[in-house]
Amino acid sequence: MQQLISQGAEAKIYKIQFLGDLAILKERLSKQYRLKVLDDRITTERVKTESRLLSKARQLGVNVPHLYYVDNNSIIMMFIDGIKLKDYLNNLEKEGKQVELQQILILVAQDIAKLHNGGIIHGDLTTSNILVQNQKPYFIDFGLSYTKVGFVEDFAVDLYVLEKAFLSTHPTLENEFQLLLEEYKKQQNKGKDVIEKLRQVRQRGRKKVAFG
Amino acid sequence: MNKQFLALGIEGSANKIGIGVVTKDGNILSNPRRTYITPPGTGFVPKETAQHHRNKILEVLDEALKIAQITLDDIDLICYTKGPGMAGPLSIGATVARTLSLLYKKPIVGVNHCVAHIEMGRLATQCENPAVLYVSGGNTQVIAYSKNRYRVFGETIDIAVGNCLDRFARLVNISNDPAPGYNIEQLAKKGKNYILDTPYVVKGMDMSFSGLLTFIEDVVTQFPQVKLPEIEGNDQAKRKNKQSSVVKKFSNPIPQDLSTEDLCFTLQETIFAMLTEVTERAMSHCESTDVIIVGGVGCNERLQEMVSIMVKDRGGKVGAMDERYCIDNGAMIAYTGILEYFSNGPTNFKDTFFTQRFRTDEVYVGWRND
Repeated sequence: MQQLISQGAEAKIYKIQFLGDLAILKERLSKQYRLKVLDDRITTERVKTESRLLSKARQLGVNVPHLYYVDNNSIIMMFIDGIKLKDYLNNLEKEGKQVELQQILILVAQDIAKLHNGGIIHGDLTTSNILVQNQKPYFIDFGLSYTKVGFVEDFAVDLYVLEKAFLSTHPTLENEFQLLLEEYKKQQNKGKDVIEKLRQVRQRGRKKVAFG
Repeated sequence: MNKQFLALGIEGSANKIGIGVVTKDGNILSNPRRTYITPPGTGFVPKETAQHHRNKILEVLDEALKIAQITLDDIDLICYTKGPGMAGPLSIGATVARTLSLLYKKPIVGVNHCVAHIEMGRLATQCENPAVLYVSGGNTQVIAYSKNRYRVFGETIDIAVGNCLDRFARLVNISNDPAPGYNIEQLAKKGKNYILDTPYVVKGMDMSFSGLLTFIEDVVTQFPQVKLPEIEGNDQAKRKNKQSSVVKKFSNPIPQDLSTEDLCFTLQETIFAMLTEVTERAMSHCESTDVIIVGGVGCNERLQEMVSIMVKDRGGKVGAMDERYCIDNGAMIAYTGILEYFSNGPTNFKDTFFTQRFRTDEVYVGWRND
């Protein structure tokens, strides 16, 4: 039994039965436009890092799907019965549940800080790549993640990606996002430096009006 | 016969100076241009490019009017590139546009160069609402329209694709005539060996090309045979090469007989795969099926091929453009100026300056209401 639940640009996601359990099969698509050798390299690299970082993230105490099985172009992992943070936030906003909204963002901030303290940069933090189950955030899609220790630059860029995604889908929640950054600053070992760097990263996009 | 509304567009943001005459419905009456071509091993410097434009602009203007069979009195609107671009070259177009506007008492509109590419692309390909891959010497952006703005979904965080290609061409003495990118493309067709270690840097929706260029520089240092012979007597081309004492270790061996062609092939395959990947991510994010490629690098047939394979998989179509629209020209400025004029009115004369930094998403797109 295979049920296609989503097809992104990168992979097909199936809901499957694995050893009697519900599971997720993430199958990376080979890209016809790419040179075969390059495509194979990228696919294998990304499957490898993704599975390695999934288990590392779990050791750091961040909620991620458990890893069941890995091969050259696919990963089988735990099924999470939750909804996207994007939809969760929209629902809370609509119902005016301010407290829950702030709660979840604080949890998200703490988890990102945990990942960063452990040297994991997610690489594609968006509100679609965080699921919510029982009011707890689960981080998924570590396909663009990598590890690096000691560089605030990478942490700041990671937050910047989230900020852009967050504010473009939830433009009214700007203050709440500041809350997230505040909490991150407290929890991350180099939080102050990262937030400072984030300020510089924001200025960096090309051709922005910077001065004069 | 009712006289048609005519606009004159002046473009001079980089190494091309072009002037076009366009009717209100986008009919191009004339579109001549001159390109400032520098010897192999060199690039175009703002000051010299401005000199080139200054020398040519009136000649191009005469030509544009002559081909269109009109005089300046027949023109209803003067448009020029306000930015982004190099300051020196931009100032020439802006100055001439302001002068003409005052002399002939015509309204004037300053146009965003990136938006002009997009609008000309939409007109030429008849794509209503495409995702836009804008790749040129100075810009690399993946753009989609939303609520009266062209929003930048992904972009380069350091150098532009065209810049990366140009600098590579300079490094190995590839000719700048007619364009470095074109010559790289021709060489790449003969390349076979792909260097597997080449960095492939996609950060979310953004891309980075500077590390890739450094990697190629290192390869060139270790395989000096890939350099084409220098042109005799060309002092400018004698640029100092970075002599790195560190011998770079490659985890996948590079064949000893590596050729210029192989290097061009590697560079193209890597860069274009990154661009296509980010475009695909943007398309999946904003659920559009069509894409247009604009900007000078959009002329590259391998890039067009890669993007169309990707788009076909998604059941859409790609409006790849021909050279006249892809490359900087005056007609696209004139056409976009007309759109602006009829939705926002003319630009206030005191605001008819030029600016090097002018984001695509700063422009209020009043002429679209979808």
